[in-house]
Amino acid sequence: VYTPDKKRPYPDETEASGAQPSTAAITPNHVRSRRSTVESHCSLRSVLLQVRDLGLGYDSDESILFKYCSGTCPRVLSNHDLTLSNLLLSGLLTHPAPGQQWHDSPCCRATHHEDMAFLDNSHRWHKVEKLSAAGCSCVG
Amino acid sequence: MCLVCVSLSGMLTVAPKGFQCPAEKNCNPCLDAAKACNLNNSCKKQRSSYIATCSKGDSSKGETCSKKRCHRALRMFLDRMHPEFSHRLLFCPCQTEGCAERRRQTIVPDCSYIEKEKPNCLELWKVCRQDSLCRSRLADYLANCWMPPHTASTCPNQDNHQACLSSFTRLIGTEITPNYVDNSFSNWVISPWCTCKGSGNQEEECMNFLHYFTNNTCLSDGTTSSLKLRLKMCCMTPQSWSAQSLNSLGLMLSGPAAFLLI
Repeated sequence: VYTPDKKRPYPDETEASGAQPSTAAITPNHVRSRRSTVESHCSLRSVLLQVRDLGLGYDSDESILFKYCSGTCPRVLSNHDLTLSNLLLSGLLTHPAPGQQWHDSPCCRATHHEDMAFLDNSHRWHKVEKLSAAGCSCVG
Repeated sequence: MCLVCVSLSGMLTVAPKGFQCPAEKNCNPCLDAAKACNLNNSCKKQRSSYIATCSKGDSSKGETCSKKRCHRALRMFLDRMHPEFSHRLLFCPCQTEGCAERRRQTIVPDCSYIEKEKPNCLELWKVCRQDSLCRSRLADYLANCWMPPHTASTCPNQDNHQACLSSFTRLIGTEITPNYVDNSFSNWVISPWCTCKGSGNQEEECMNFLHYFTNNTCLSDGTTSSLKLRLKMCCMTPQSWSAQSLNSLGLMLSGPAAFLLI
């Protein structure tokens, strides 16, 4: 499960791939300005990168604007959360094993996605479904 | 630092045949055009949409795409998109075969253009005349693009090259969808998917029709006369990036004001 970690900078958000012969690894200004407000609320962010940097195995020099969700989510305790805490404390529910732990705070997640199409370097078209985020929300 | 890659009149167009751009491995105006489209939400969505429609069907499994749907999707994309995006994708001025192949692939030719059999051009023309959309768009193309050979000007309507490119673009997605025939960048040829073989005694008439595309001065050499209005676009190597050049690239991506007048 993806958990937003606001302390860890997104590697591609910097001009990291500048070492490659690419004109694509340029951080749009609006991304930079959003990063300055690290504590901002869960919202759609974007980063301009080359398709090959997506790590999906496609070899393409094409640049796309990858949109993702990040930001803080207010922790609003519901009766559900309260009960869950009580049950764990009382031992009526056993604590999950390490690695299977559930999240006790809301996550900033994509609620809508959009497909992306591009031409790879062998000149074949690809359509990748649900690649980019189109809407975000605090879930849980 | 800055390599001139493009010449044109008011908008990015195909570089005139023989126009020399300094060879630069990383200079690919078609990739830049794709990037510009991907940075525009509407362009990106519509491009993804027509590519999805036109890429449907796996040829290795014997499935074929729906040419009709693909044509409709292409028309929708080209009718809705500002030429700033669509012309840039269709007429990117290539100086490498890789770029020219990308340009040829823009309309997903496997679905929208190429067929098993090449029909006779006169037959294709007849099919086009029977369809009101194709008929009117072809008439529009001829009015804006066709000049008889050996005439002084290259384009009708006071050398309105832009009108010709727009009319040409409107033919894409019709029965006579034209495209680049191969990935040649120096001597490119545009043609509908048809041949004049098997024309019988009408070969001359057939060739005349085919020459509307293959021997079209307005379409191919039109830009030569407007070099005075040449716009240039820079393809930069990563080594040459600086804060200033990055800013200028950012500007280039943001709109038509981006191109720098020589």
